Amino acid sequence: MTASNGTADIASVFADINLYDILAIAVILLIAVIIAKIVTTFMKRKFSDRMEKYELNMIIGVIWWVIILIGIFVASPHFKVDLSGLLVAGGIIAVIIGFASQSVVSNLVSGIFLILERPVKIGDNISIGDVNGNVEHIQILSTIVRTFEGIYVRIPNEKVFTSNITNFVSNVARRFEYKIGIGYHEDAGVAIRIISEVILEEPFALKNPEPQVFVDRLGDSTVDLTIRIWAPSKEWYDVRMSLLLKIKTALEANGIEIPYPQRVVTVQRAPSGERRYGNSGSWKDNDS
Amino acid sequence: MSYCRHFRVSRSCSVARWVHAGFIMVVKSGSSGDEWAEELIICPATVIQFIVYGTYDYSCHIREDEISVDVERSASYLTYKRVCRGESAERTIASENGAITINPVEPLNLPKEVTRNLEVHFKPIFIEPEVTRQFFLTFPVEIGVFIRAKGDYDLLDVFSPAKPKYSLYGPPDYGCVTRWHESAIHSGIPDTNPLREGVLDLTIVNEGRTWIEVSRAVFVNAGMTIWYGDYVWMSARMELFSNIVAETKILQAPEKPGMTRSLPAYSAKKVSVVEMVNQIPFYSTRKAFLPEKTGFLMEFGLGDKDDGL
Repeated sequence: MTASNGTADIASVFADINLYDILAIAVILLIAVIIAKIVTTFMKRKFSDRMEKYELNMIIGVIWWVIILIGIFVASPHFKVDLSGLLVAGGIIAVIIGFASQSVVSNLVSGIFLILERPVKIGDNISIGDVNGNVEHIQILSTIVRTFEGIYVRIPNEKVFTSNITNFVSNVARRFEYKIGIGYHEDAGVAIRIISEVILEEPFALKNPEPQVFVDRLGDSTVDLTIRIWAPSKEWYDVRMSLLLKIKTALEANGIEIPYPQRVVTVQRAPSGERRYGNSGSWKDNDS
Repeated sequence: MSYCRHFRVSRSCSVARWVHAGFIMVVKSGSSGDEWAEELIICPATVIQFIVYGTYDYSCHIREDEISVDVERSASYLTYKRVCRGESAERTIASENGAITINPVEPLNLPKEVTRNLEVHFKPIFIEPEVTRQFFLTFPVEIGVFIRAKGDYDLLDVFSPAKPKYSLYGPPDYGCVTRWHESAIHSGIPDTNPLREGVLDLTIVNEGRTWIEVSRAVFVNAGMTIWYGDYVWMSARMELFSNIVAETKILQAPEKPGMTRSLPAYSAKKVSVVEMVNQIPFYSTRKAFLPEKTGFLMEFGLGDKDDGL
């Protein structure tokens, strides 16, 4: 084909396009650009504080071109060009790409839903599957968690989205619990008062919901006290770590014993002088 | 300006001040064991608002009850030292000409900042429908130390001789952590220790057509304007809409002319002194160009029965 023939072919293709078609194409493309602008502006406003900037720009770019391409397809009848062959080829390519990038697309879609639903935020203390730690980044394909040991863990968003997520700081406050055993000869009421005073002194042991200190169980060796305290979610672990020592110190300072596990053994001696065992394996000694 | 000269005096009276020949003479009394001790303090009238609060140059030495604040100049830098209830803090300052401002700040910084809300709890008040009443309560204060130079300021230190306590307003999922304070209800301005407490002038308006029981008021730190003079002062308004819902708002007005407006701690790092003096405080985030909403909607109850759990 010569150059003059090619020019003639192109000219023949566009020969059927009239002024109405040109106007229609211009209007459709203008509408597509306006829609793309509105959508991308909305996305910038909505997601700029939820996503990394480069990821947001990448998504906005993709969405922009998708909308423009849709506009071109809508306008294509006015070009008087038969796009059916192109659509078939595009369909086949789409299927191939779809199979090849199935997991990528799955992670991408999961990432978008994670960003929209926001079950976790950057900085949250979470547990996903067997990974515990703080969320460092929520990216479009994966979520980065720094474990409490400082180890970098990348979790694909599909796994994050389909796993049970425990977010330890999603609520503003949470409760923790201690169990402390005191000796049977100690005054449990006094121990409860001492513990309550220690809790009252701790700033982050919340006043409301009120902390609970009560006798929970009469154990083998101790009278078991249960202590339930609410603390701000972001501070609960520090409070939990420091408060137990303060309670122990206060109890000891007031002479309240926290005994070791113990068993009382009674030894009895029979009249013949032989020793015999009491019930439940304890000694019974008749001399005693 | 070095701080003041201290004299022991034998007269017994409450805190009083006289302006005399350009000096303020303050007689401060306080209990020490079973005896009352009085102290006469003389210092320039232009600077001292209360015993501790005010603006000082870089050579101040302050002693007050459990508090001491010192700024010492060495060859190339300044050293700020503070002791409060046995806890000390030290900062190194690189500055030539500037000032130290010490004033009461919103009580939301200690031991660390976990909330923006202050909750004042009091004995239940039953408010008649469509009635407005004024009550005087107390609120906790923390002491903020600001460093100022060249039109800008920053928060250097926050401390308090009072022990903080926090609470939860509302349910754990939707509620908010609050700095908690128990106050008595007064019909007039109560005597307070300005280093620990301020006077909260609370106007309660029952907008509803039913009796409403109120025993707490929750405020947000945005726009929390604290004034100081003879005492620390904050005005607030609480509009009751139902037994569950109310809106609180801190008012910007001082109790009387001559009171000094405190620099707030929460926006210290973002807002220049000039802006703070003349305008409503701005939120210290990237939304700094938008004035922050200063009211707080109490939607989880107004009394002790509504714990949200």
